[in-house]
Amino acid sequence: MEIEMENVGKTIRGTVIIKDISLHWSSGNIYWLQGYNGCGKTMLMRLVSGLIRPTSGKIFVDEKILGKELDFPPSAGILLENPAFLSSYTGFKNLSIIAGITGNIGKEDIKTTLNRVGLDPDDKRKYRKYSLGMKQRLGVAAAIMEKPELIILDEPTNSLDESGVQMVIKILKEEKARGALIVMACHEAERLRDVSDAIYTIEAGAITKVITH
Amino acid sequence: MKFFRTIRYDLIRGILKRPHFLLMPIISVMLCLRCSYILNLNEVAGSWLDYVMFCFKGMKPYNSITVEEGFMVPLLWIVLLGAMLYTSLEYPFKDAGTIGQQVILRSDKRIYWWLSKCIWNLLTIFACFLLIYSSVAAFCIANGVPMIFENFYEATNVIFSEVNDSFADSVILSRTTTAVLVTIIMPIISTMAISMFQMLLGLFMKQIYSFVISMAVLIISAYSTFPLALGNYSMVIRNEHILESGMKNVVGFILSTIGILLSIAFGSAAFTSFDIFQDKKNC
Repeated sequence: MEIEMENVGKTIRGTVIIKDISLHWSSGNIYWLQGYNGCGKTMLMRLVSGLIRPTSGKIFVDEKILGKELDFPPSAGILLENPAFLSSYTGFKNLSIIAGITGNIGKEDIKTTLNRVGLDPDDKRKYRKYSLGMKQRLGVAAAIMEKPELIILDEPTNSLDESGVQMVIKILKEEKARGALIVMACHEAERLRDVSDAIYTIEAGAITKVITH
Repeated sequence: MKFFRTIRYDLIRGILKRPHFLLMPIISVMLCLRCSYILNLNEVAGSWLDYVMFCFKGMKPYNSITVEEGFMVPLLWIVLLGAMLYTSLEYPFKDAGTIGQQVILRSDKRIYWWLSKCIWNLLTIFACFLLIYSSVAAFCIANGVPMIFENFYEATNVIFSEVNDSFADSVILSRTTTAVLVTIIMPIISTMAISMFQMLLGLFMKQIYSFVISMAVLIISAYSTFPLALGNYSMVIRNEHILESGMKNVVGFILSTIGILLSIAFGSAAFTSFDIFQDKKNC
């Protein structure tokens, strides 16, 4: 998968959120977005996922214009802001419902993914009983369970303990090795610096620095 | 296939798993109790159809209300239709702001989400009506009321006593097709049109405001027989088969259908460029 942004901007109610961003991303790489709260990281990820439309510029996914030729990237998994699932269902059931839309994976794949993120597939607890860390793990699971080509993770290590952070790092490496294009925003600077192929510093909606490894 | 899976998701989440529908049997039984009281007071017996007609009775046209009758409000009718509109209010946007984001992303096309919600909306209103008819039927069976699809003259006279002197020639709905049109098709399709309009408005404003506007449509319908006030067509008392010079069914059917189709079309166009946020206020 190749993602290209050409002079992409986003303005909401007169406020410029994203300012003239151009970049090129490709499969098998991890792109880390860093910046202070409110700098536009999440908005940039929303633009790439197709959930919001740019006010100006174009976003290409495999040479197709997002928002015109494509509504969403054809194979994407996302964890944006806080994970949101159905509170009266178990984690497994939640993932089953989501996976049921594409029909690409079965129960065993879901169970495998839950094990990967450190959750018990047979846990009968409803989502509303989950701790914050468990909810976060389920959010990561939803993003990776169908082995998408594009993975977007916004603060994947939020609320996670040390084992959870290690889990995320391990998954990032595995998914990268699988050939996924991973876009991530995270505050775990030291841990993830080595995992990332490029680090984009965003300030006031614009990319101010790019470091590639 | 993804489109049909999205529909299945919405039908399960949006209809089977929502307790809002419980409002329908509760309100229906209360209306039936009221109808039974009125009929018993006048010592007449009604049929299932009479009870259904009472539930959707509404109010006689405001311009025919006399000074002696005073200011009237079709409260029972507003409560019943308001409950249906409330049931079809928040699900699409609440869903889009939570797990629905994952569903939207996987459905490939934004229009699939909107069309699925349109189908959900129409089926929600249909399910509400089915629940009402069934609840009335259960009440009738429990109280020995004949389960027949025709109205009794004495009961109809009592239920629509305020328009006795303006009854249409066909007030006894002796033809089943007429009864179906008056008590089933017209209330359902006109309520569907208002509900779809409410959902369309929900794309541009908070759902509470869209609900207030749809309730305003009902209230305007109560006090105006302007053909575009679609609530008129769900008031049995104003139907041309009950009231001389009542609301024309053909006009109501056409306007309601146009209203539904326009809501679908405008919503499809709007949602194509809609920003989807994980925040009910923005969605």
